[in-house]
This record gives sequence, C-alpha cells and structure tokens, in this order.
Amino acid sequence: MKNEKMYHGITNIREDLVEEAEHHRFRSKKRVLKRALTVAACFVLVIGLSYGGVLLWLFGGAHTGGTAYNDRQYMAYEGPVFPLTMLENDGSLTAKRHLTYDFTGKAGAYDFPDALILDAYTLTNTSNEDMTYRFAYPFVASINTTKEYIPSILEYNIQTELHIGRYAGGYEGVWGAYDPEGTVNLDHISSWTEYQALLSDGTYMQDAFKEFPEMDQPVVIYEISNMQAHGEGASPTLKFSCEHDPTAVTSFALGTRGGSYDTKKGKFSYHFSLDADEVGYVFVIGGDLSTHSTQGYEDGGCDKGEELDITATITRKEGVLGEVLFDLLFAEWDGTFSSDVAFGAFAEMMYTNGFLAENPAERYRIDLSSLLSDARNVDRVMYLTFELTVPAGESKDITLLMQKAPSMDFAGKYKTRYGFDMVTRLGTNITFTEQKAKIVLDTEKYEFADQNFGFDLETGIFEVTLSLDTEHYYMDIRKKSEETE
Amino acid sequence: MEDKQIISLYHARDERAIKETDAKYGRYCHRIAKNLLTLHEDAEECVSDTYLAAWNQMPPENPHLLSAFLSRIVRNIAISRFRRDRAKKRHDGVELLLSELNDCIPSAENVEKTVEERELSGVISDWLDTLTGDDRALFIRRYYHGESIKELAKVSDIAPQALSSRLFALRTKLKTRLEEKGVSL
Repeated sequence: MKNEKMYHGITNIREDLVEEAEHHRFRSKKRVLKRALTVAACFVLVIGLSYGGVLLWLFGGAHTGGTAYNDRQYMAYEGPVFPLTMLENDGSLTAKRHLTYDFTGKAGAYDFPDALILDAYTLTNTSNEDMTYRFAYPFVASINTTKEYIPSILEYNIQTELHIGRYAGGYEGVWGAYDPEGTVNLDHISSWTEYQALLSDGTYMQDAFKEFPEMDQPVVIYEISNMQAHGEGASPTLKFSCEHDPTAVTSFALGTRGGSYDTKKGKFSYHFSLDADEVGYVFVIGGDLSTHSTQGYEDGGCDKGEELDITATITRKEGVLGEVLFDLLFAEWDGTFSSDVAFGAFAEMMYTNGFLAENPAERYRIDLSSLLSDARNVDRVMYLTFELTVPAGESKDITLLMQKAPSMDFAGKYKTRYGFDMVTRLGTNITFTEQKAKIVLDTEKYEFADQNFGFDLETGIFEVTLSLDTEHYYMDIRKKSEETE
Repeated sequence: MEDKQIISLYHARDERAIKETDAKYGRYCHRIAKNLLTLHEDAEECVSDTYLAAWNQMPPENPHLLSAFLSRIVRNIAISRFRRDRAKKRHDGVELLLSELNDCIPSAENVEKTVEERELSGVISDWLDTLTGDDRALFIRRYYHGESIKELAKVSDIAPQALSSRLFALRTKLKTRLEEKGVSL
C-alpha cells in the first residue's frame, strides 16, 4: 500500500511541473553530434533578378591581371572569396572559374553596396566514365550572419549541406598587438594571410567535417533565485563567494555582472545584479564547492562598508553539463542553424577556449555569456557542400551566388576605402586551367584607390584574366566625392 | 477555446463544457488512461468518468491548469479501477508503475514522521525542482503520465536500457531525498 501512497503523492505534485513535462523538448544526443545542416535552395529569385543587371556590364574589354602583392590589414575584414574545392579529388576534373563582383546593389551597413558575388565554374570531367563529384565551397560568416552570406547555387536544384568550422581568429590582451600573450579580447582575422595560415595545411577544413564534442561531464549547479533586497542601493548586487580545489574543480557562472578569481588560493566570487537576470547559476565540474556563502551589496562594486541585506533561494542540483546548458541556453534557439548545431559550436568553443580547455581564455573565466555570444558572432569559415554528376568527357556549369560586405577601416587614412578580395588557390585541390574576374561598378560614382586585378575603368577594362601564379587579388574602392587620402 | 472559457462553462452548468473539454483534452486524458489501464475500453470509460468528475467538482473547483486538473482525476480513477480489478490482473500499466515505485519508498530507519499525501507531494515537487529539465520530464512522464519505456526512449532519444537505468537512478535519488527529510509512508 505504500507504493499506492507514493502514487497519490505523485498524482498531487505541482500542476506546473506536470504541464512543463508534457511539453518538454528533450535534447537529442544523436542530433547534437551532427555538424552539418541541410540547406534549402534560397535567394535564387532575388539574385537572379540582379543577375540580369549584371549582364549589361559584361561587354567591357579584357585584360591580364596584375601581380602586385597586398597584405593590408583591415579593422573589419570580411575575408576573401575562396575557390571551390573537392572533398575527394581523383584527378579527373579540371575547372575554369569566372568571378564577378557586382556593386550595383543598394548601400549596405557601411554606406557602400555589399558586393553580389557570382562565382561561376565550368567543370570538365576528363575521364572516360561518368563521375559524381563532391564539392565544398568555403565562405566566411558567423553563425548569426550565415543567413545573409550563405551562397546559393544558380543552375540546379541541388541539395546542399552546411558545415561550420571553428572560430577562425585568436585572442589578445587588453593592449592589443602589444599584449599578444593576453586573452581578454578577441583578435579577429584582419588580413588574407591569416586565412592563408589557417587553411593552407587542410586541417581546418578536416575539422569542420568532424563531429562536435560532447559535454558529458557531471555538473553541480547552484541556482540562485528569488533575490530580494531589503533596503536601498544604487544597483543591489548579490555576491556569491565560494572556495574549491582549483587543481581538480572548475567553477563558472551564468547571469553575473562581474566576479573575481584567485586560482592559487581557490577563492572565487560571482556577482549577480538584482536589476538584471531573475535567476543566476554557478556551475561546478570535477567535484563540488568546499564552502559557499552570499552577501548583498549596494552596487556591483561589492565594496566593504556598502553591505545590503539581500535574501535569495539557493538550490543545489546535479546533472550532465551538456544537458543542463542546452536546456538553459539553446532550448528556445531560433536561428539559421538548428539549435543542436549552434549548441555544438558552443560546446566546441568550451573545449578550445572555454571552461573545458586546458588554458581557458581570460575572456571566459567568470561567466558563460561572453563565450555564448562569441560562439554566435565570431567569424568562421563555413563549407557549403553538394554533389554534381558530370558525364564522361563533358562539362557542366555551376554558379555560386552570395553577398559580401566590404572590408574597411573605421578610422585612419584608409577609412574611405571599401575592400574586396579573392584567392585563386588557397584551400582548393581543383586543377584550374583558367580564372577570370569581372567587375560591375558605377564609374560615375566610384573609383579604385588600389587594386591588383588589372581593371581599368577609364578604358573600359572590366574583365581580366588572372594569373594562377598570383594567389591573392584585392581592390579598394572609394567614392569619387571623397577627399583624396 | 481557452481554459478559462471552458471552466466558465462548467461554472455556468453549460453542457458544452464537456464537449469543449473533450475537444481540447480528450486525447491527452485518453493517452494517460490508456497508459495506466492498458485496455482501450477501460481507458474510454475512465475518460468518461473523468468528465463526470470534472462536472461534479467544478464548481466549486476553479483549476489554474485544466490539463493538470483533468490528468489528476484520470490518475485517481485509474488507481480506483486498479484496486477494484486487482485480482483480474487487468491493468498492467498501474501494476508496473506501482512495482517500480517500490524503489522510492524510504526505509523505516531514522523516521521522524509519517507524512500525509499532500505533504508528500510537496516534498516530491521540491525534489523535482532540483532535477535537470530532461530528468524531471522523464520522471513525470513515466510516473505521472505513465508513458512506457519504449515511448519515452523514442521521444528522449535515449536507448531503452539506458533509460531504465536512468529512471532507476532517479527513483533511488527520490528515496534518498525522502530519507534525508526523515519521511516515512
């Protein structure tokens, strides 16, 4: 009969628990492992219309591209246009590439049009049998900007998959280039040579096709809720202080507005503002806290003499790290990628630079929010993959279309320039027999500040044949009305 | 129709209340009843009895969540039928649940008090609050909604064997919590 009493005890649990369980979305372990996202064909209609406009400009003269070298760094670098590559290359395919930059669109975020890129390929199967090739097209975007910059394929209704690479940049100290050992700030990629270093040995691309790591560590969670100040303060703040063995145990928080750590003494504090989140969390992996306590303060400084009576409910829970963080951070995810893929990218950063790394970046030492934000916003190289069958001895044309924002400086002598660049060989295993570039630009409004393509707007040379020996082509464009640098 | 409107119909003694309840929560109630009572016809009767009980309880009852209110009635009717038909070995769902719930029963040592059902529900609710979302949902969907291991394994993407182990661990945790609280049944 005791089990019947237990049955009745469960029958009368709180109604909200019953309701929540009924609608709970379980975190799928299998789906988390998948790195790829199937992408439906998109943007084709919009870009197709613009493509009609492009054709009007393509009858300019042809010329051979220059060979000047550029390693210019931009404050905001959008990355080059990469060439198509193959997942496996049996040597039977050759390709011709015609890349067009169309600047006839409306001004984007920087008062200058994003380029419409048409990266067209004629792919020839030189073998005696029909071949199905698997291609990958790299492009630069963050998880949050993928929707804007993901390429689409013009000619065929081809099923594509998207694979995302890890964070492409690094970290630096508060003094930027003068503090390269520091890891407080992001050190974004600012020139094409950094992409050259990243992609040239092929491991970055290989990693982009691997499964995401699991976060299957047991975790203890201290949930801090019902925070209430019993008195006045400019910004009432609850300080959660704790101690643990810093060599075996790691603690970090979510929802803080600050904190401090002394890894030698094993003392940590996490500051939760009552003005901000309703609930705060302290996570502990590798063991548990040896002690913990709370103290309220009048503001986020948590200074002695400014104590304030703040009460809170602290609930200790146990769980599996990946499941807990998915439930807290990604259950309501709404983005281009599925929540599982976005969560996978987050998990990867936890291992490479976050709390699960051997040497976590200082940037992520206290709170998860920075890492969560970075996982979504840092640029990565993404790979759009697809298959194409080319009959024996024949060729097929394929065009990838995408938008590209200008690279630029926000200050300094180059602040009036808008940069665009491309690479001819970096990251590809395809044998190219020809590469050409074209430009569609309103010459009444714009002019080149610098370039090595070999375009000549005055004599009508809008199309050039590129030297395959030149790895990088670039152009800086400015408005004619801008003052000379 | 919104829950508030349906409840208003009950309070106005308007028979459309039953029709609207069935339209919105009929499948939900039937699913729980079927999980517990196993046979389709028994589940049908249980749901009909649930609507009658809801009609008799509202007013004065004014539930906050109609779904939870109804599912609680379903569970009460199901356990009554189980008691009535125990000898016939007719209701495998409840039988199996009760058998598993034996694992949650605290030992008699260090008992400070024998709790009433309502107090027990409070302790269980507080314990459920300490679980992760997945574990909480697994426990409630198994031991409240009566979902089978097979169904739960499918929806949670956990292998049935692993799920059984996980549920056993949860039952043991609940037992430990009750013992820590000095609770006896």
